[in-house]
Amino acid sequence: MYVRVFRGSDCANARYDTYEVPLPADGFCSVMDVLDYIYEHLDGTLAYYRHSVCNQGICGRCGVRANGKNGLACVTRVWGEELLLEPKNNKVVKDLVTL
Amino acid sequence: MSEPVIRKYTCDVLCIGGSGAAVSAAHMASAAGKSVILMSKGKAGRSGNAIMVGGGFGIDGYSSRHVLGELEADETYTPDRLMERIVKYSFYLSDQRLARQFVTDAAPMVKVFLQWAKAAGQTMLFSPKGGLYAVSGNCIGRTIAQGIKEIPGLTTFSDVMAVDLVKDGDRVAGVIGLDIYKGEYIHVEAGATILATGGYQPYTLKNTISETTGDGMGMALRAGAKVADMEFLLYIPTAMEPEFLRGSIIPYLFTIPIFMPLSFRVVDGSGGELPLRPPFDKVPGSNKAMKLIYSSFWSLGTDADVMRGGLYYDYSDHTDEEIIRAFDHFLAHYGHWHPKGKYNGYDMIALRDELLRTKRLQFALGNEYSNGGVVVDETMSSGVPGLYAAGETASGVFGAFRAGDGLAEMLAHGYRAGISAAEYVERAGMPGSTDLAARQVVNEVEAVLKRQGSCRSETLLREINRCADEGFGVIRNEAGLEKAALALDGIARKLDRVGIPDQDRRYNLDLCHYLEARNLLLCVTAGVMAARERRESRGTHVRSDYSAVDQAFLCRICLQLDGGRLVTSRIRPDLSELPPPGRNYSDIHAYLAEIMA
Repeated sequence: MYVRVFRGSDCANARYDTYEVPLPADGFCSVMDVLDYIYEHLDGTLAYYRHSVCNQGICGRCGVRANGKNGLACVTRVWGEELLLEPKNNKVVKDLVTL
Repeated sequence: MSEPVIRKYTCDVLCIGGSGAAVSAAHMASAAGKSVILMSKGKAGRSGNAIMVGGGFGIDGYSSRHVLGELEADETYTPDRLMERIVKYSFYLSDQRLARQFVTDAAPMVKVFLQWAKAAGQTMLFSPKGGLYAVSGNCIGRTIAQGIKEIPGLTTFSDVMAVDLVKDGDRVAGVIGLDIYKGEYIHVEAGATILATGGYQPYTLKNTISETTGDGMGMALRAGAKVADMEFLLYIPTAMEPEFLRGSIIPYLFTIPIFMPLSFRVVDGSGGELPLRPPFDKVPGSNKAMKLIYSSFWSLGTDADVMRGGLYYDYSDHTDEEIIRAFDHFLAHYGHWHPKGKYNGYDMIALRDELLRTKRLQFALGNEYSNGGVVVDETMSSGVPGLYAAGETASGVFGAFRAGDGLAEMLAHGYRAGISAAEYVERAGMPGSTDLAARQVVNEVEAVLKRQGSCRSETLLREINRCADEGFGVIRNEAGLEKAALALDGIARKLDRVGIPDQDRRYNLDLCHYLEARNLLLCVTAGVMAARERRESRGTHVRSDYSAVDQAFLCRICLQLDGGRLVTSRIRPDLSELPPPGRNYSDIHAYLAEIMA
């Protein structure tokens, strides 16, 4: 799948980077899985909420906007050929990390 | 690259951690009139492993009735009986002064904790039969957050990762933290410092919160403290499939009939059944000892790669109606805390439908808790002046197997650490300036940030995980441990070659992962060294080449840094109340069968 990701710290001057991410043939894939793949394999400079993660929808801190809808990255399932990932609000620290 | 910003703060007592142990310590130190700073790697109250809890917690029945006011509690279950249980299930590695501290100090702090829960509107259901409060992770997190709110004058730094302790001579006198969001350094100069940063989790499969990279243990080692019991890691059935469930402790919860009244057979990929042998087949699923029984029986009888999966609950004996009824029961219990049809973020209806279709659930043995940690005495002092440890960061109560509750431990330890740290500051006063030491820590981090490295910290973390999966799993032997030790040496050499691709200090994951890898590597290396030295089986340390419980190893294996390298030593746990058995056992099952009889 092709994933377009908001990059930068300033909404007015942000850019979007596109990454190609393989999806499991018929398995589950969360937004967090996609971000982990990009960070681990394609771009180590990507910032997304990852430093204290329950990965089970408990801590509620990994919020991100996926295809225009806010949700927790760890429990939001992705499908289809395209995914747009943006910060969940305008208080951007860096890339997808917000206050 | 801009100059680093260092912001300095001063307090009497510094609590590093954002969960129950740190907040309990902060509460007690504050109650003693001390100024307190809390520094948490995640958001205080929404981080730490306590929010991953799925069952409950409790103390002895006598204290439940007479301290907590639970009139239906079984008062014949006294603190002495709880202590006896902890010591026996520890395979007598429990330091009995610490076990006594645990059974004495848990009750008053649980009482405060329950008051916080009530103020936060949280439901903790007391079950007289089990002597436990049933809770959820969110409920625990909100209770801890309430505690933070109720501590007058508390200064809290959330999302600040402690990098290293700073010292004034031999005395620990604070910390340098990295504000993850702002990219600034926080220098806290403190009269006493309490490490309550959780345990270490070395494996690829995670059922714990991600920050459990042994940060407190790593910092304590570098500050001159000892760690012990690092070879003892507790494993529970953890989901592998369906994929949306991966990492969940739901398979463990499914072993407890009061939550999930649905029996199962355990099989491996070849279809071979892995039954529990008598007398263990009759032990109730709610008995914590089952964690050890499951992990040993389901590992020893199969060739499956149990750290990564290959084990299955087989529900094919049940009708669809029975499965649906059991799920309804599960959801009715957890409906007290979770949205309809959910357990945390998991869609339980989707899981039910998957089980109706496949009649099986794949799991692995995931690590939920590390018994090892900083060596402390019953005041939670590490022996390094000014340094205390509490909760999973500390060691000594549970020895080779944890029969008590981790949540009760965090509260009991935090309670005592807060009191002791406050008393220490009263006696010792404030330290001299730590500005130079702080600057040195910052310079070390900055040097990593600036250097052109040849490998990434993220890669090293995954290599450490793989190394633990392969050589330091549930069942160990010399060949596997030796291979793991060699691999860890190689990773240690690579750590000096790590580069950080992004020079921006704000939310720099690779920089955080470098700091984590440095700590986790120390912890896993310590664990592997202790596991190699312990040529026997005891508790969760099971060796296929040394299956006997050998009383020549009735000792705690300690590790300490000497000239930058870990070295081992041995200490005998305090055995002043309950004498250990004077004989060896053929394996851990023989020992367990005797103490469970």
